[in-house]
Amino acid sequence: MSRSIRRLSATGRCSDWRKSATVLANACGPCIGQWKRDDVKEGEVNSIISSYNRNFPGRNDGSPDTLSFLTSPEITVAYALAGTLDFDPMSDVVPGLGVKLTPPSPAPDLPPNGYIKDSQGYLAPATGDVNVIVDPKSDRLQILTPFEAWDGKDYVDLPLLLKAKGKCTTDHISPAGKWLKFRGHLDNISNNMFSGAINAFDGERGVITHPLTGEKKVETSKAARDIKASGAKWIVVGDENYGEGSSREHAAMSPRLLGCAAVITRSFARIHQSNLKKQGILPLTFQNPADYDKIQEGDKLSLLDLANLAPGKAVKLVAKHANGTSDEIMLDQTLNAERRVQVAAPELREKSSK
Amino acid sequence: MIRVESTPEFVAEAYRKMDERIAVIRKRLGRPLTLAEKHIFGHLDDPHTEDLHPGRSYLQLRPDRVAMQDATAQMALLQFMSAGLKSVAVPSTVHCDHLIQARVGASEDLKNAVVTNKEVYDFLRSVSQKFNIGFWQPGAGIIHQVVLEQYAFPGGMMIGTDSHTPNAGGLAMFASGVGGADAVDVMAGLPWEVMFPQRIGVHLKGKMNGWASAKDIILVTLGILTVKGGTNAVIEYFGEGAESISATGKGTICNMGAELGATTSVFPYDASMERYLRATERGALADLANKNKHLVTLDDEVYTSPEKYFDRVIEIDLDKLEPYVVGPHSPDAARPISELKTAAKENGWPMSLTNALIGSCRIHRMKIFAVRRRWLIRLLRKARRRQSIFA
Repeated sequence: MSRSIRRLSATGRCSDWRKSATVLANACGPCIGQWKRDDVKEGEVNSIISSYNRNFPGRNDGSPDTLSFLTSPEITVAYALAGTLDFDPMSDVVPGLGVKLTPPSPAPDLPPNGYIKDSQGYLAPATGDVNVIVDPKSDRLQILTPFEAWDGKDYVDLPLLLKAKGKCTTDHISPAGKWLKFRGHLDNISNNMFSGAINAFDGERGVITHPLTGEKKVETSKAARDIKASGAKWIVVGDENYGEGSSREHAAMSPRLLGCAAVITRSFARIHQSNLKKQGILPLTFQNPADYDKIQEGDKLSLLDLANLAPGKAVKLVAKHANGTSDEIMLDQTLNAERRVQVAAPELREKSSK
Repeated sequence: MIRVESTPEFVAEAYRKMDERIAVIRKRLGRPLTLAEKHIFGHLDDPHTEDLHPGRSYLQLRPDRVAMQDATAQMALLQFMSAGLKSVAVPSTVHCDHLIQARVGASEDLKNAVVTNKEVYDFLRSVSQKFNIGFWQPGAGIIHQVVLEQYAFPGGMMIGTDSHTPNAGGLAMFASGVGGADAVDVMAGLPWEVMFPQRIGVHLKGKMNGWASAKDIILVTLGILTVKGGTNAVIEYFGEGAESISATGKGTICNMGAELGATTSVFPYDASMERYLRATERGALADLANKNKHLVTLDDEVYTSPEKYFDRVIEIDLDKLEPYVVGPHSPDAARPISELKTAAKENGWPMSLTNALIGSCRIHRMKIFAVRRRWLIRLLRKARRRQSIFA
């Protein structure tokens, strides 16, 4: 067990805290969205404060209506006492208590009585042979089958599945919360794909106009599955810093599974861009970020001359609009980097290593 | 067979290789190096031929370790299984911290998690056992805390399948969050490919006082750089202000460097890290770091003329540091605490707080629970004397 937690348990301080607060498990909990709340109704706008590290919409409790504020542990305690944001611990009297807080004295670097070494909960590797079993009927684990390789042809007239507006973090692309339990089952978790993303055309979250049927407010993953079933691939367009946040590769694997050929954005976050490449999706950026605005609902998108994809070479996008007009847009790519053997999804990396 | 632990022998060998590779690069570049550059150059797959342009060149690196949490480990290890290898090629660990749902409280929630996640835990346990991976069971600790206590070492390089992996920068380790496929490459003996990051130096001056804490340093930095300001950059903290922060406080700052989009964040090795290593029974690693200070700190010339060697330098005066509250919805919606009331009124945010949550992987739990508790109790006593609602 973690040494500092072991020391904490030994001092009995946990039990002191239990009298006035809930002590949660030695785990990530609400910080990563593992929080089953029943103190607010669904859709109820409410404020929370924490000493956590991330506060994207829906991050802590799955609800985009929760306003999450981050600060230091000391200040979090101060607000816990006040119970309101309408309070400045530096200058105000604590509402209801009638006292002004004094700043805490500096904490020592290390626990006064040291840490306690404890190997409880640790399991060293086995020396003999071990059988790894995955139940084929499991809804939480699924042995991977390699993705279909790229046929080497250009992508022509692919439907635009989604044009995402504003922040599109990995929490928007592949939300955690109730979906966390499917992290080992690619097909099942893919039902959450883009369910947090904001559709640029109508501002709705997680739903799009079906590119094949024109039906309104269809779940993005469902439309993607329909396009895949029709034998086609699709493209996603995103805004600035697309894919920021968590390292979860499901944000790349789910699109790959459901038929994504390319993601075109104003810019990417580092980990996500790398994940897209490794799963065999082309990450492309607008040479002119303003070209983002040229992409319209119902567009058919073509990526041309892909057979001659080379390090640093721009890619030409032709966007055919529903009104019959079209735009030619130049895109940048960074595939020059990819020169290793691919483990899971072979085609793009082999291609770029030539 | 490789050992899971960061043994003194393993660390000594890592330093030997770093020395060799950095010597090659010093000849090539002929200039002083930042600490992050030493980490990077000291782990180059081939220091003779790699192209070295920050913000442009993709590097092939050889990390010392891999860490995975239970949500991302599933897909990483499903991919690793298909590589057909007998063992991981570098020390690797799995930590079961993500799948425990907070509902009632510690013991009941843990019990429920063990039941509901049984097949996932069984899979991760057996696959770890089979491929020579250290396995930390549910309830045994949060990945970043366990790594800091057990496996991180100054000068080392680690990748982890969690964006907050840079927490280990609190022990002068170059620790970067990656996707599972990157982790699979490294566990399979292939190099890790990453863009040579730009170098952002954060010069910490003065010393914190009053309400200010390590957390406020990163919140202020977020306000300055924003959530994409660190993309393809390493944030390197230095200066006399850095020395006054505990190793775990440094970990807090590096952890949230993930919110900047940074490749990682690091602090140079110093006395606070030595104290932490000795307190966690790793005195031998402290001795090794002391002997190899040239590998685990930035060059003197960089320290004295940072603007010459970093792509950008930010200065933060800790004497004047005010507590910050950021949010909602983005960690770079930053403001000093004195401006929160007005912002809440102007934006119509609900004033009433439904929950206050303390903790997470980036917090030194002893500090909160032991020291702050005394402070809290003093507060409550004071309140009681005034016959408040706490009486």
